[in-house]
Amino acid sequence: MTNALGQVYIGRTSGYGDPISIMNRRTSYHHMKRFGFGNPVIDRAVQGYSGYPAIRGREQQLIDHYGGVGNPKVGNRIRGVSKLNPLGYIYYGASNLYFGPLSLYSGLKF
Amino acid sequence: MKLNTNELEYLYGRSKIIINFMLHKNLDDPMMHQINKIIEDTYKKRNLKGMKTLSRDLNAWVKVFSKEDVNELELLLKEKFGKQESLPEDKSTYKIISKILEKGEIDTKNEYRIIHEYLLDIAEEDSFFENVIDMKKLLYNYNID
Repeated sequence: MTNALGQVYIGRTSGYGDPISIMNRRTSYHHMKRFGFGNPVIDRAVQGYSGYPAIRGREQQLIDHYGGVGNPKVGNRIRGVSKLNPLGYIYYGASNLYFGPLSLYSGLKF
Repeated sequence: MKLNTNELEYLYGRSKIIINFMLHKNLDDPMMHQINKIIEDTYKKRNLKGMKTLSRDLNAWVKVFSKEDVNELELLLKEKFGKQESLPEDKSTYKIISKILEKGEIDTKNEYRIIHEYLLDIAEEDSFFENVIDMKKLLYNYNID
């Protein structure tokens, strides 16, 4: 999602149905709308058991791609994947496998 | 800091049931084996915070399963932990979300993350679905900086 200041907010969601319906359902109650974010677009969508880690990794890689949390261009208030998440590197690798690398790994390795 | 052994054992046991279920369904997926190893390592290190994170992530992951698999897995969890055991939330997550809703505010970045991540994958059958608007307000009102 983007806002009038040109900031980008990166998120993810899951559910049953087609990706656009799932995204619209999530956007309808998204708290970032109160901060002026809207116009959601889908970056990637996957199906199946193994898709979840790839999407988690992609979310964080996109945030990092735009400069990371704290960068003026980024609306996210927290990282997509905590630096301390034991599965962080798994998510990163799964995203690379599914979508190709977008940014360097920014979490801790366990 | 005192480690809550019962909570660690419970979250480890619950996470093992979920990952073993995934391994059963995806026998040749090396990623599932890696995740299984991470669960084991987190448990061996007595890393309760890490185990809570793992458990919450597995709860969210389960939401992409087919309805049949969800029912099958829920039965396994109820067999092990009793009829009250719910698939969408482990007891630890349920307790902390209840506590946050009761006090009506988010006090820490970790609480913010728990509510934020819960809302990302929330579904109608989840215990706190009726609290979506309240949780949104909590996120909005929390000054993270």
